[in-house]
Amino acid sequence: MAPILKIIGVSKDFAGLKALHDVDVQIQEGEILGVIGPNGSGKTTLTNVVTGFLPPTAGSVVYKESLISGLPPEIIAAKGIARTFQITSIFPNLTVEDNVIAASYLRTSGSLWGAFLHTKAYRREEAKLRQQSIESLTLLGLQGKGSAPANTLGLAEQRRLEIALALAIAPKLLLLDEPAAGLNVTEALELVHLLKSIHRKEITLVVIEHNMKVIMQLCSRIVVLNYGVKIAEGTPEEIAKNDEVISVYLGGELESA
Amino acid sequence: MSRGDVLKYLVILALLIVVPPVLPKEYFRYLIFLSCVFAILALSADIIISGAGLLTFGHQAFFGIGAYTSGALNFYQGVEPLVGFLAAFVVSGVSGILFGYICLRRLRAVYLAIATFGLGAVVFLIARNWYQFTGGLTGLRGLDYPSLFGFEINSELRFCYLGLALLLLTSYFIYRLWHSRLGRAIIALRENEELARSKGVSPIFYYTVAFSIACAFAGLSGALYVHEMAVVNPMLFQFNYMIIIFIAVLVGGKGRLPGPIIGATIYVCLTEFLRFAENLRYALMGVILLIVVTFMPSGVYPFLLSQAHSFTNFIKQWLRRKGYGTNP
Amino acid sequence: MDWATLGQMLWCGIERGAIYILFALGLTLCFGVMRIVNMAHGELFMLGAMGVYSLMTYFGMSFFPAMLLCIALVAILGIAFNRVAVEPFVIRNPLAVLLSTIAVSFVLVQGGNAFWGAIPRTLEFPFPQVLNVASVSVSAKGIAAVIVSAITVFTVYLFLTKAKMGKAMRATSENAIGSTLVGINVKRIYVYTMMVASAIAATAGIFAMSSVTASPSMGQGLLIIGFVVVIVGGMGNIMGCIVVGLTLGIVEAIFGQYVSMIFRQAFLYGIMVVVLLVKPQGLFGGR
Repeated sequence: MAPILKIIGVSKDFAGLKALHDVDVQIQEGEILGVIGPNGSGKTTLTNVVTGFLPPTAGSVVYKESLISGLPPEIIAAKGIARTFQITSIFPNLTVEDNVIAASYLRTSGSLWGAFLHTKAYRREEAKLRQQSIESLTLLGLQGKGSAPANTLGLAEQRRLEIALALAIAPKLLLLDEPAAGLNVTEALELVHLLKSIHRKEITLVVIEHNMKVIMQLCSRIVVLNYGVKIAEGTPEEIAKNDEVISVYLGGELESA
Repeated sequence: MSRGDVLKYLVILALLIVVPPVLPKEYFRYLIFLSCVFAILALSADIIISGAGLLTFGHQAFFGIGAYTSGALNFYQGVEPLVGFLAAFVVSGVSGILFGYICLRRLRAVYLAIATFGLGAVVFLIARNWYQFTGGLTGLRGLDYPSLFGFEINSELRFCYLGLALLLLTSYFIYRLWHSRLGRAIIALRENEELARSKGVSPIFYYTVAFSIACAFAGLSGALYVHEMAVVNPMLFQFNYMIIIFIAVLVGGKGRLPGPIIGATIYVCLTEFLRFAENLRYALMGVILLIVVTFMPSGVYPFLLSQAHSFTNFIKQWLRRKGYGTNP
Repeated sequence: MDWATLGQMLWCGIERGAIYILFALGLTLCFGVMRIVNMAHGELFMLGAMGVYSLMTYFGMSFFPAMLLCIALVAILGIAFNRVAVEPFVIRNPLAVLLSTIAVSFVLVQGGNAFWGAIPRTLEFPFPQVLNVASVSVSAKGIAAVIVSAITVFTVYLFLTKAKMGKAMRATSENAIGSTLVGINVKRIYVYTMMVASAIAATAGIFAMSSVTASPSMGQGLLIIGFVVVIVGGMGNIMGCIVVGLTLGIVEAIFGQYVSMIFRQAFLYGIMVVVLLVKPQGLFGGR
């Protein structure tokens, strides 16, 4: 397995606050990598740097042999990197189906002329969009909710919609920022199943989480951050036994794994 | 489109064709024409305001730019007005790209409003003072009427039809825009800019495109306006026209196609009915704007829609109570 | 080097700058404390000018009583204005305030035109003397305008730093919700802010007549210059207001004399646009 993403010596400063310091991570193609760490350890900042929402202060990010650090988010998305946000992010006033269609921007190539003249090519693409949207919603258990406004969905459903939107750009790499936050035990279990089935479609996953059950069940490898520094990396078993990691979490959450 | 929809549109089309010639006064035809001009202008501004979710306080500048493009081409070079309309469309669109790119790169909300306001004011000042080109306060007079293959549009009735045709074209374009990939990208930005970026949509590109399309149609309305008057002068760049746009969009209802059209018509009718108030006319309009903003914040069209909705529900319930099913 | 002309231009610039500072002060106060852009501020300015003119011409009042009465009246009008156009929207949607204030501005200008007519008026100041300082002609009313401006700015500064109400205003501008939590009646602060801003605007209007004529639409052009000052200086920033207001007055006068009278205003707007593109928070702003 070759590394699909290389985070090399990445640091990020915010006017004196070192959010990330010299972080090195290699994400292997086809794996599910977990990223854990206390609040404020830099997990979301790292995601923002990788996906282009923040430029790194130092270091670089390389995706499939090409340098992407410093590029804007829309370009990075076009290269095949998708993400979800810590605060669930959808298009609130559009219907669920229109949400997916809007997110499918990168997968379509429609021209304005075609739309204006209502050509056959345009109609074909519209039909394809609707079809793909329905498939996506079904995959995520949202079939039948297509015409509901997205802001009427419950939290767990909005989360799933957000994942559907991320998948709509046909990514090779998907970063999820605390997908299980606020979910109860059943919902979290469903999430694990969902993510596993997405993984089977040959998408590399990076999961940032606090919920250790989810991490332990999903991830083949885990990276631990604390105060912007990587303090450990390894298999779930190795991490569970790592003294520094345990002390950072004060022996609390890891025991529930 | 369902059969009911097709019927609805055919009826509207029939009315639009049949009503203008049978109106008793020439003046009513002029009012319809004026409504069309301002409807196109308001619709174009609504592309930016409701479509892209951005504030613009300088849209009137493009009304004037379009007017002058066609007017000046006709005055100085004898260019046929309909060709001038096309030129106005293009020139306004291109200046919209410039204007938009400068403002939209970093500015949002209040700052964008002020920047566009300032830019609009600058354009007015330049137009008013560059008398060698614009003709100063008197403007350029004696513009030709548009003609199509020898058929000259020189009566109020013909201008009426021309206006209606262009309005229909604009409405259709805008409707199709929001169902195209381009339009959906713009809507995505409006709904959630950060999320849209993570789906590959470039804000500066699409905001600028939305802006320039809006400006192009504003320019078209300006060109249409001046060739009926046969005069173009710098007063068209005044902020008054932006107020008209706001009235049309806010009073009519923003976001859906009929809103700005209704709003523009209401504005034109109001200026007529308030004629008796003479100088207080515009003051009264300001008061009306204030009232509408306070009590009918979504505008007349959504208000009418919701009233129609509750009325239909009321009828349905009454029928049900009387023992008649709604599905025969 | 024609020092006399340059000196004259400098003095002209200072005169204008003094008025710009006063005008922009009210604008920046409104934005700083209430986070609103008051598009009718120019009309409050106008009402100060036209008000004093009316009081003196139609009611035969002399200057000082008319001035004080007018400022008081406009301040009260500011309260009403706040109630009608600002309060209903300021919490729900600050941007709607933009539109409601435009509506009021429209009403005031057109109403003013209907009521007074659009003819420009001049005011008879009680001190018509003109001095000659180093071959620069300096009018007493111009000096009065500058002095009044300086005193007003100083008073406002003292008010904001020492007075309880002033400090409460500053607190509200920093954090409106936090201010409510410590017991500040934010709604009342808004009323007082509007009152103070209106009073300052009226003062600016009155003393602006030392160099310009008054008409119902005099506020419109000035509003844009007010924006230029406030944006270049930083919205909500008093210091920026003062420095930029004065500088802009002088720069405008010099540009008008030596480069082009016609495009003088366009030059100012151009500066604003450049600042907006390069440093949107303003030269002194930090938000």
